Amino acid sequence: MDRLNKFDPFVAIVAIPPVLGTIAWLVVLVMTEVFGHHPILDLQPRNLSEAAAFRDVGALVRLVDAGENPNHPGEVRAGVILPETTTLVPIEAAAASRQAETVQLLLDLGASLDADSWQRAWCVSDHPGVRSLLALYRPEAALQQCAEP
Amino acid sequence: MFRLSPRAATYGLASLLALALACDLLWMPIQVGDSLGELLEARRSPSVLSSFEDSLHTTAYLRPFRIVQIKALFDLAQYSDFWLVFRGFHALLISMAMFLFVRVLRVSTFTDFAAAAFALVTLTGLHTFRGTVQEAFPINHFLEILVCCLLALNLARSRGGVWVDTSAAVIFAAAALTLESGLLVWVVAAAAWAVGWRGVSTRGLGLITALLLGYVYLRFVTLSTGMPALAERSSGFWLSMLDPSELQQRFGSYPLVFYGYNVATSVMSVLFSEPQAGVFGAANAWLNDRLLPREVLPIVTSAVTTGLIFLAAARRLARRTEVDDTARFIMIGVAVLGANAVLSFSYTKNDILSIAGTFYALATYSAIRDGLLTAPAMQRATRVAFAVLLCLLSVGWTIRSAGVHYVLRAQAFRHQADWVALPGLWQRNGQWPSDLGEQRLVLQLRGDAIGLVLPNTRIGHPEWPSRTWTD
Repeated sequence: MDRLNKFDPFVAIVAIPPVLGTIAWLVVLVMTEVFGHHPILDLQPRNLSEAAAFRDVGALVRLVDAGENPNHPGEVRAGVILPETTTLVPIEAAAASRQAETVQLLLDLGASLDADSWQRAWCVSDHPGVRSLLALYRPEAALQQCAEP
Repeated sequence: MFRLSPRAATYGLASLLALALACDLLWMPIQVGDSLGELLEARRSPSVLSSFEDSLHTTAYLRPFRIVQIKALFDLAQYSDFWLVFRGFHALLISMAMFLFVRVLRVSTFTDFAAAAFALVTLTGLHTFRGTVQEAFPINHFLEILVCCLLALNLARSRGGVWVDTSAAVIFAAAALTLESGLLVWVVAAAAWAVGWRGVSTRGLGLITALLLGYVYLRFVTLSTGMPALAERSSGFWLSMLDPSELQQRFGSYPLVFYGYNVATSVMSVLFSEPQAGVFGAANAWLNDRLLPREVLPIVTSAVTTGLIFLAAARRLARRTEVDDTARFIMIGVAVLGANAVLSFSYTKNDILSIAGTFYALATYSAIRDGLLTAPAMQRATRVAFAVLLCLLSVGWTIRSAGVHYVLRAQAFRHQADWVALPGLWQRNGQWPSDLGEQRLVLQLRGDAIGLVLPNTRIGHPEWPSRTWTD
């Protein structure tokens, strides 16, 4: 059987990319296991509002199960919803990220909407799906009017 | 001093690739769509035999082994772990596919190893491969058929014997009764026999052919199962997907036009990575001025690789030399591609073409090997240009192959989101099962899915993965 006794550039240029690519793939998996987060896709939410803003519904359920309050405001890092860091309740963050399903999930998880929070969520999103869902949960005192930006 | 043989190096690389794929598959919840319904059906069925009998009386499809396998794994999972059994089975299948793929190459030199490494990233990088890993219903039956076809090819390259013939017949029967694509096992055996790989003997091929005729009789005469209707499901056409009513409206009077389109685009899809599932996505992106690397890279790498296969074939045709293994891989690839495209006549999608995609990768192996063997005889300038081309091509396919990791992460995130939304959705739609055992099963699977901490692919941060790979 053949042994690699001398350097063959043709063999090297064809074989090296697949070998390195496969090793890189495994390194990513190992790093994820060792460090607890993906080295490239590393955006992990720090609270419920960030989970809602990141559309990470699995994290939403895990955080609520761990005792976090779905009505409690949380800090959302800069560049996700607004250019600067902002503090929102989870439903506002979900509405701002234009995710009707996430708004519905938060309501299923026990989030409530008073007139103020409802109006903020309504005004932070112009997404038709979000707005039609919010319309179903509008408190009587809430106004469907937003201040001009 | 330790020296690695080419064969060991190839198996080593295939093992690493299989390990990476298996880890990605295990890091994924069981899916909801096309899967949970099957699991609930399996739970309702009293036995494997009962599942088999019930599945014989469906319209349009004859797939009793598919249902039987789901029931068998379900019963096994009830006493252990659903995620482990179903996801573990998927990981096992992908490992088998990688092993059988490498085994059939018969690597013996480092030139073979380089061509095999190239073929492995072609196999995993081609869009049709995604159909074997991206979804499971809850078993990925396309991957099972792929394993069966590779088994048949390995048997055809063996020394033969009664056991080989019998095994080939059993594999064909199991594959044909799992999915319609299983009929491709016959195509593989027949094409291998025709090109001179006769491990499956004339007698064995006769036995498989008899089983094929038996299948046709059983399906169309005894059970009157029939064929999928034109408006069975959505399908791609030119620049968009058409839903069943649109298909009926456009092609109800001329179904052959639509069927011809599906066959032709299936062939093009494997050879040029465009269109995919009948839709010319890259052309659409170009028309809308939003062409990204994720659309360009597949077309360029596939077109150049197809060109190299064509060159290797043309050289043999021009010289009228004796049929060698390079020619054999290409001829079998052509036969499987044609047959797979014909099987896709009613609707075309990447999953169905995963078999043709695998045999395309085998043909790639022979073409690259042929190129490497002929390169030393080239003139210096040609040789340098060829080396640059092969290097860029190898890098391109490696990037496409690495995209499978991104695809699986995105898919896992989608599956988890589906599980999260499920109870609320079913309760609002009145679909929530009344049976307590079924409720427990749904909540258990949902709990397993939510428990997985997954990287976020929905937010598009960073942006380059979604620009490089289609999820």
